[in-house]
Amino acid sequence: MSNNIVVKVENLRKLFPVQKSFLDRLLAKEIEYVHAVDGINFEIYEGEIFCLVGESGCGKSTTGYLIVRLIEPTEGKIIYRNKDITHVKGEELRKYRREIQIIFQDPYASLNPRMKIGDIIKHPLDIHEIGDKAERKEMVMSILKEVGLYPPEDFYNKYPHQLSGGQRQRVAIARSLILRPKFIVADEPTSMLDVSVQAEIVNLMLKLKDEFNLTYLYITHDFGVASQICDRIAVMYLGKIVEIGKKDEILRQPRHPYTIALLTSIPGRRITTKRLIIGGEVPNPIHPPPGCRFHNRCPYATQECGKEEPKLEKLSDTHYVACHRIDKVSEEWPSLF
Amino acid sequence: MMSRDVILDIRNLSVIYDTIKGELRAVEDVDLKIGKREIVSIVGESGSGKSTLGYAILRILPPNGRIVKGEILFNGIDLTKLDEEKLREIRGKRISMVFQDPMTSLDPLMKVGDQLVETVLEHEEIEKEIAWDRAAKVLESLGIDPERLHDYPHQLSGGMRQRIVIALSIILNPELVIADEPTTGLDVIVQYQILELIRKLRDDKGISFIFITHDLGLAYDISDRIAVMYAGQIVEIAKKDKLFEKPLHPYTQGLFKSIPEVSPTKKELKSIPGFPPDLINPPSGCYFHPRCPIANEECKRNRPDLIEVEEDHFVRCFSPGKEAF
Repeated sequence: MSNNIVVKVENLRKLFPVQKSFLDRLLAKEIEYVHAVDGINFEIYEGEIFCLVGESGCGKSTTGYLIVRLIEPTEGKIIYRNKDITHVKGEELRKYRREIQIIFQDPYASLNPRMKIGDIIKHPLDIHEIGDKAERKEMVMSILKEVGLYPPEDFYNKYPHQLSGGQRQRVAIARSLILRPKFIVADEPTSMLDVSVQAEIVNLMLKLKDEFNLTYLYITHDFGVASQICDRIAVMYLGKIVEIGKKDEILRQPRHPYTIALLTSIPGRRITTKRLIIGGEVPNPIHPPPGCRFHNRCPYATQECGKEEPKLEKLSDTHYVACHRIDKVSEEWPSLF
Repeated sequence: MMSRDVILDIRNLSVIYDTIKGELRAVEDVDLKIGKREIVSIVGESGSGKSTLGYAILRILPPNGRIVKGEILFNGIDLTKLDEEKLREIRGKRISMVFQDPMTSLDPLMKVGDQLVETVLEHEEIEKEIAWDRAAKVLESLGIDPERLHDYPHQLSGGMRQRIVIALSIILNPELVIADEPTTGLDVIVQYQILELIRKLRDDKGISFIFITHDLGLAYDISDRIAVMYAGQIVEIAKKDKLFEKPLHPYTQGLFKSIPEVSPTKKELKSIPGFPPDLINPPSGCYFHPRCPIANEECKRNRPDLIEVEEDHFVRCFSPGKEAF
């Protein structure tokens, strides 16, 4: 991991307007918004694997889509290698997209069922007009080998439905790498796969990272995967980053009650037997709770927590936590491992 | 386990799906006993036959599926031999099922309360008001506000919907509940709440559970014993601690090595090479042998039986306990 920042997001926000009914419009009701991503900041360094961890609806995938510019932010900036790319268009956006790619969660939905594997992987080369026909085929063959689809000639003419889930995800990875990008957003790439296949794909992604000098933003709900592959972890809750730090800091000494609850709710035979049990479910992101968004489920919350939103506070050069009750939490949970 | 404590005794059960390509052996030679108040997990990857086994017990297999062999003794009654009418007295009432996706097992156009009442009236001739009161009591016992009875499923969160599905499954006081991936799709914190609920139902009401899951960690949390399925067969059954301390079947060992553990120390994730077999044309010998690093000639020729190698620890392998992964 180097000190070169590849991607930086500043105060990034994305609010999705809620579709109003005809009656609401007649009554001129105010438009409501889903606060998907609500003012987040982080930096991703060259060569690292940066994980965004959180439950469904916390805004982690939206963050990924914002960074690859699949959706437009409501507010804030996305900086790629010192260049503000938040609003770039046309040719500039195309240039950016050569360097930054995304792997989606569902390999059954992300591959066009009517296209052959070879054509799916070749498609980005066609769009970006790279190489002639023979060169393109050559590149596809070589990337098929790289992602472990041997022999490549066999796979080139197959259709997605002839492949297993793991193989499809390999195709999606091949497509994302064909333009030789520098930065990959991986949006839960293994969550639809069986665990033995997941191990295969995770190992493949680690191998490719080294071979292609990649930097990853790895989005997952699974702390197991995060703890096995990440350098740094950011935990999201209701559109906010509640804790960010090096993997070791987050796993050994989590300081946000939500991080602790997540970590100690993971099933399985565990080293720590103490659990932080919290009730309820993630509140509606249309009306997030005032103050700390976690306060109504937090066993350590005080009156202040319901009024004032906590800022990310520095615990070390790399570890930041947004919680008013850090002292209390540290006292109760000195260390998890 | 004493035989009088056994509530469900599955013997040599095989299930086949008729497909255009031929007969698919979804479940083969399954032997499994479930004790009273016991929670047994059936763990396997997609296509291992774990859900089919659950459906077979209640005889709710898809139209192309059929039980071709074996017995399913529920308190001594063979469910495979019962006619539809007799079976209805057991299905839903004495044995019930919780499905994976609460949105598809709840009727979106009916209030939660009406769905609970309907279930009761299906099996008991009582006044609707009494059934409604019972529904309210059941929700209360599960820690749910009875006001929820007036809600439609879409008004509830994912976790609450799954709680309602569980309420539906226990309102007739069953002896056994088959839960098919009841927490898949829920986040870990809510998942934990659901597991607590299941444990409570076992402790308070003495219900036995068959818990079908792909997640070994989850199986560890919830169950007393764990059965691991591969290619339609049970390849290993043991008490959970035994299984976690010393998995004896190569497939179970491989599965453990592929799970990313939550830990600051890195361990290399290992995958199991190859693919699960085609169950229309299964391999010769042991079904796992094409993927097994320690397979030998015997494994290619002969099919191993499920043998008790240690007390209460059954394995289907010719070299149980040999390190394969």
